[in-house]
Amino acid sequence: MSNLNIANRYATVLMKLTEERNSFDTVSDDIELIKKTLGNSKELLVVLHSPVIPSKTKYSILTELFESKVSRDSLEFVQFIVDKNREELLLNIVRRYLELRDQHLGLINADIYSVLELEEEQKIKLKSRLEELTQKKVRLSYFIDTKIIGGFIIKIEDTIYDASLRRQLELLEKRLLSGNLILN
Amino acid sequence: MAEVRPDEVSAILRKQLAGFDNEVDIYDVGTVLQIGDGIARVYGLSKVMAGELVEFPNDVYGMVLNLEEDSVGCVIFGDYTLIKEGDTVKRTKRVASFPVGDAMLGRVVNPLGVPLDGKGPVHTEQFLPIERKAYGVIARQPVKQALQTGITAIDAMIPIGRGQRELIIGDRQTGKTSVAIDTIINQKRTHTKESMENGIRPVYCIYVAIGQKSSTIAQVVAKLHEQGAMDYTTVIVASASDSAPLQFISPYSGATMGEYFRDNGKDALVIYDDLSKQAAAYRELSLLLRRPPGREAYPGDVFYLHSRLLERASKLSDAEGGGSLTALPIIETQQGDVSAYIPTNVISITDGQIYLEPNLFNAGVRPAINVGISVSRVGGNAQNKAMRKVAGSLKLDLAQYRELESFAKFGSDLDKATQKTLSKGARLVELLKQGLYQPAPVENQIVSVFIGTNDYLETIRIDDVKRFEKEFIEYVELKYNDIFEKIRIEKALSDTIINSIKKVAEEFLPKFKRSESVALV
Repeated sequence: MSNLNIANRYATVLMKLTEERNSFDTVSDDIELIKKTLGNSKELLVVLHSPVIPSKTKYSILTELFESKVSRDSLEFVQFIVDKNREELLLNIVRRYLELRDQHLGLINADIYSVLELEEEQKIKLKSRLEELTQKKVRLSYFIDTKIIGGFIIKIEDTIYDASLRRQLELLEKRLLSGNLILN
Repeated sequence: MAEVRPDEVSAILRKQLAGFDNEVDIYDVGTVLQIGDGIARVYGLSKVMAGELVEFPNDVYGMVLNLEEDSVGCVIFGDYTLIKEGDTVKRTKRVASFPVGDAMLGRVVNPLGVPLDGKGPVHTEQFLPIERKAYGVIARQPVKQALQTGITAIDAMIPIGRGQRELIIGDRQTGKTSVAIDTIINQKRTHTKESMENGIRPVYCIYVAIGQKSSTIAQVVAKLHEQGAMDYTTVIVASASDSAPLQFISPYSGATMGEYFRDNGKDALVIYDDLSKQAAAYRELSLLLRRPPGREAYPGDVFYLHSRLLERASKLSDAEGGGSLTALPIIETQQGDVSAYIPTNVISITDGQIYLEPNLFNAGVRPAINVGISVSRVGGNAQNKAMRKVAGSLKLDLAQYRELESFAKFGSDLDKATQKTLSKGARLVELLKQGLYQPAPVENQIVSVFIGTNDYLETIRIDDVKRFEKEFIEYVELKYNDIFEKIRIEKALSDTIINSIKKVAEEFLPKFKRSESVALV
């Protein structure tokens, strides 16, 4: 079974649990915290992936870390994962849960890459246009990428709306190389 | 010295680039999760369709074959070492296509249309998808015209029609490819003005080499060039060193090329050499894509692999243009086992088979066709009427000979009738032997079979039979060429022609110089 499948199962279960116990918001915030922690600490990830470190040690590490910071449901979930020997997939599970959460809220993530920082007005316009296009709520993340030379790139799920200058130049290059020029 | 002024340059550039639209480019992407052995697993590409072409970095293309819950399995056409994990994969929103057109004739290309013969790019206008659905029942008509292979044994007893699928099956080194090449060489006759006047349409040939040694393929191409056959032939090559995906799609590319001719009212012949290697390549792909293995580790749809390929060979109705595509698939058996998985599959799909046996080959009967078990389900319907008349008794005589063959060692202890059958049969077998790359025109074949079945060879030693045939044909060509002309034009054996052949035979018999005194074997 592939990792994505396993992560999906655990995340779905957690989602169902929050629906039953009506703890959606708290748990979601907790999971965000867990993701941030894992993201910021490479050592923690190494520890979780390591087959040498005994399960009990990992259990106590995670418990000590999150005991006072997250709700009981979330802590028990993390402990449950360690018990099932799936701690190396914790980051995947957490990510997948957040994806499900977004789906549940009707939210889509969009990444915007631009050369310069966009102005507030531009950001507002972009947001409303994208929400119109996708018919969903859009959470925008902004990135600066000077390699695109000019314009911007919008990445929504698997689709890319490429309005960058780099892409235009690439297309132009391809067209000129393919010999479509008619010389008279 | 002429100079190009800067404003000229900018004016031209402006003109050329004026049509360049700079709209937002929208494309769907995915990320490579896993890459190896010519297969890539891609995450994302949520809207991709099965069989679609996708683009990897460094101008490598792949085809989507597996659509799974969380990933997409693609096969890669080309060098998969140029791709690494984490690379972005783009949808091209089109299916794999093959360039078709008359410019393809005479060229050697790979299954994606890239030329391999070093003669520059191929300029075609049309691209047809490699995977196409075969025509339905209404668009077809029964096979009625003959496809002359030039091999007497085949044209007489296992006749092939235009639009038929005839399997060439046998062990290794029994002459399968040679039968195919002789057929291609023989189609040269259909491209002459004379045959067009006689109502015989030209046949365009496509030879698909799947998984063969490049040296063998080079030999075949050289032979075709030598015989002047490359003018109407396209060779599609997926050699043994090419990746499994290329070997897998190469027959489909050949079928696409053939369909171009068929759909334009012309006749085409496609030879798949050989389909056993395509099945093995498909097995390799399927196992790497983690599809469940079935019998002999082949995937469950290996029958569909061949059936959809061979169904594309058909004879179209006059409403659709009357074109045809004949297929000659080749299958290699292991130690004569025709009841193995792939051979039985393909036998049940094709309209007949030509068995080539190593015993016959080693005994000197070449082409090593076992006439007893070779079949053509189209049969006499697609045969030249003249040939049908003379071939009727040929098959019967050979069948009787085979029955009595085991008694041949008793020699003179047998009764007269048995002896006669044996001697006639032996001479007919000798008559049907043919040299390599020497396809015979249909009128020569008819005359040869005629003298064989009408006992004119009775007094000739077996060793002299081939020489007798050769000299007799030369004699007729020299002195009575009108007989050949009449057969060519009328395409039937009227009594006048029969009588003239008989007369000439009687005239020639005493003139023939036998190698020793008349000693019947």
